[in-house]
Amino acid sequence: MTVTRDAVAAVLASSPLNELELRGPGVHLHLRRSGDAIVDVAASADVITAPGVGQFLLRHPLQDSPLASAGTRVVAGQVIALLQVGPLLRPMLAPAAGVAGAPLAAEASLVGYGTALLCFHPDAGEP
Amino acid sequence: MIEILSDTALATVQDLGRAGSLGAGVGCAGAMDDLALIAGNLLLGNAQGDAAIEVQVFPFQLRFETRLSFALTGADCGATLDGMPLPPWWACTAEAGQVLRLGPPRRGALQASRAYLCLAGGVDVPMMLGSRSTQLRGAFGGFNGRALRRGDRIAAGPATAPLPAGGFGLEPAAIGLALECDRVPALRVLPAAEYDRYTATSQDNLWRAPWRITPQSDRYGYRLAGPALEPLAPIELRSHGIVPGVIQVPHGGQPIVQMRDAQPSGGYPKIGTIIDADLWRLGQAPIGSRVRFVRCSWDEAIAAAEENQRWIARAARLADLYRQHRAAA
Repeated sequence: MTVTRDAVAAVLASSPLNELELRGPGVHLHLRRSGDAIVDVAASADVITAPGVGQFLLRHPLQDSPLASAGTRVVAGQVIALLQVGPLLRPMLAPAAGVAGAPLAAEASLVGYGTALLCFHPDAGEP
Repeated sequence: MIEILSDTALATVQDLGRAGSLGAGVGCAGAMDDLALIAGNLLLGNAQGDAAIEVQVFPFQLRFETRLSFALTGADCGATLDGMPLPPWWACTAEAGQVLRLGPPRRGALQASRAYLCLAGGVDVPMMLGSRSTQLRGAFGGFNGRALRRGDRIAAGPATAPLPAGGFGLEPAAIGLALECDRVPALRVLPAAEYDRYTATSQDNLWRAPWRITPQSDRYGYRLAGPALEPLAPIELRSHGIVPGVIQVPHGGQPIVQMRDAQPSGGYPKIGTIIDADLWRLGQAPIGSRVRFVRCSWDEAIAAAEENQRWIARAARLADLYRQHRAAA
């Protein structure tokens, strides 16, 4: 079962609440009412968690160096690590422009849904 | 729609080739690395044999005129989309106006020399004699029967299944289907018609020597360098039909492997044939690199083809499941 941001935003919009934070395995949503709109509340440092079961890869199988070693500047949506399931490679994406942080799981280790994989430091002032 | 920005020659539209026309004197053409082409199409939910762009001279740049999903497979070219690095063997969606750039192929372990750009819906060029591959010798098929040029605008077919946000990739075939002999990339070879007319030393060298790929190697054929292969007595043959993968031995004893753009006939003696299932490996072997030939039987050649098919089927199943799962999420 997947919780989508839009579904949670709709719940918040139709509720008497001002703010709603939801934490669970692989999900962290923090939304706030802003006038008539529902906006995301930014975090200063994020932890990127596994979206499912697989083998955690900091390096692409063809490459010697990590996709984004700690301290590397990345743009929003850039692939910074991979989760391998059989021959399939799922992306771990930079959630915003920022700097890749330290890995929290070992290269090639088997991880489960929600396992913390690596730190990410979004640029200050970025939404 | 995409627009080619590079003034590079030798990038061509290819699919799995033009089967069934050799008898009419029409060569096969088709992707030098058919597994990479198929993998790119699988990522996008295309038909396995949809046409793609084969790139073999770098850097190569193009602009997306419309929002379009694409897959890049084959050589790891350090690709970037508007400057953002993309992993190799990766599919994702480009926005209108974004520029895709491929740099020179990475060297080292599992190096390769040709990249494949597949477009969601397939490269939309007319089908000619059952294929969309460019037949350079006959100047037909592909994009106006020629290599791509700067300013060419290439359309994609009807959109396929949407790609999950952020895209996804496949483990390169060279990992799942690795084949080496003494740490050198290996190719399985069936002895061919004139094999028995070579000296025992030459037969031995065929299987034991590392063969270097010389700069005289292209889509037509690969000229290899190694110990001279010597016949027991001079061999003179009339021209006869040949297929991609045939290892010919001209005077001088340095073999030539016929590749996808080979002409359909030739008169040199044939010492062996690289099996279909392994021809993609040679298609990716960079100039200056070395390969080994490993003798195989007919049954082993069939088994190798079946192993490739299993790799494809598994990749297809997982890619389809992932797209459906993410679309439902």
